[in-house]
Amino acid sequence: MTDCPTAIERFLLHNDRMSADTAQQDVRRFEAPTSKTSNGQEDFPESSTAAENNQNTVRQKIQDLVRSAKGEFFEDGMETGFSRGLFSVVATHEKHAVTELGRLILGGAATSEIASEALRWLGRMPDSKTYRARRWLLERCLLCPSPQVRDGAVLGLASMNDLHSVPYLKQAAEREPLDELHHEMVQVVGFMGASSSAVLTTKNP
Amino acid sequence: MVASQTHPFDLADWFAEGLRLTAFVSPSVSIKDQSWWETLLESPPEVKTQRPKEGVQREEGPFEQGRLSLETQPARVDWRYSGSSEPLLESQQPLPGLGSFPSALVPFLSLMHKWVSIGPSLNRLAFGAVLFLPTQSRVESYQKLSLLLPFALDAEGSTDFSYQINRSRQSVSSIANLKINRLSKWLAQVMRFGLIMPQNPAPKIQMDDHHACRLELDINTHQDYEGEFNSDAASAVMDELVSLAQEIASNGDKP
Repeated sequence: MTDCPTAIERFLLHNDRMSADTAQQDVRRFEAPTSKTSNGQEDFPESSTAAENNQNTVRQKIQDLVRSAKGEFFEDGMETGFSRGLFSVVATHEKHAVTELGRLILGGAATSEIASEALRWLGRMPDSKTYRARRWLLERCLLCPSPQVRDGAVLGLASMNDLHSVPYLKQAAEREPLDELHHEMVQVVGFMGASSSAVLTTKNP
Repeated sequence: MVASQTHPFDLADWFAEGLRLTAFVSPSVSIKDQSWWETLLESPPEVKTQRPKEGVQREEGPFEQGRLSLETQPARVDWRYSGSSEPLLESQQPLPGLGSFPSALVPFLSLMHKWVSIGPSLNRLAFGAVLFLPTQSRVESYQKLSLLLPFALDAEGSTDFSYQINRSRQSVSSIANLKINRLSKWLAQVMRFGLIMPQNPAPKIQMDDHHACRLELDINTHQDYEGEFNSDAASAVMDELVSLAQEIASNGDKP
């Protein structure tokens, strides 16, 4: 292994530090609601496309979280107050939290470092309810102007290991101006193809 | 699209409070610098607000019998056509909103077809409508709801009724494996309007209650669909969503 880990090495590093079991423990440790009534979402079915009533509350929580992360030191794969807060707000507000986070990242309100950290953790969340919203955001962030954000998106997608993302990663690799990041994208595409032929059910259901 | 002959209500019995088209864009598309409003309406919006740090833009202006708004966010585009919250005192229509559902639908749908022809590639599409069916009283609202729902309500002895259901269906379009959510919410409502008339020695206040059955529709392509819609497919899907909304308003809640 070189001094600077490659995308796949870094992805495996994440898995070492956060196995499926520890991930589950982390989810229990967050202050997720014990019932739907507590977060006021029982009236908001999954099939609905209407805007959520408490959108401003979610927005405020995400903005506070991003604000509080400024100055925090992020080490690849190590959980922080920011990552715990992110898990908590996504567990509570589900896809609406991901949408609000996406607004801040894509609008440039979150620094590249915070955005990148958020994207890496979004890829690792063992939460099927927000899966598509998280995957959409990761795929969309491959278009972001910041290389650091694109790097976070690649790593998040590598954690998800979903073949759906392969065309988006390939397109991103074709237009990627940075050699290192281009190589990382190509590597993740190859890794996804290889793992899909060996294991068919790695993606979050 | 005409509903079946067994329908208990004509579509024109329903009034539209608001109509919505929501489109979820493909992750391969950035919609930051769009100019759809000017292109489609051939004039600038009356109001334009932006929150650039959140990637949100909202444009708004008068349109037909009400107001039209276009809100774009990184992941979605919402077109909303809504009426005034006040009754149109000068018109023959004493209720707020956009007039009858069929008449409100025509200009909105026409505009939306033009938009999907120039819009981005989409992941998911939704048609929303808030409709109301005027009645004379709360009891009549409950009686009419009983005709529209698969069970009878105790019109005299119950209040605070609310019923929501998603009866998803396979799409009849040529798009493979496309499921459509048919989410409907049924309620009885009363709209209260106050009119203050300046008089001596004190102003006279007149309150009018308008009862109605309320139907909130959210007809949308299923969240698990993995494909993308180009403009032709989006146009066909939109027609199907609207047709399903009309069917529910006409026939009531049926599988």
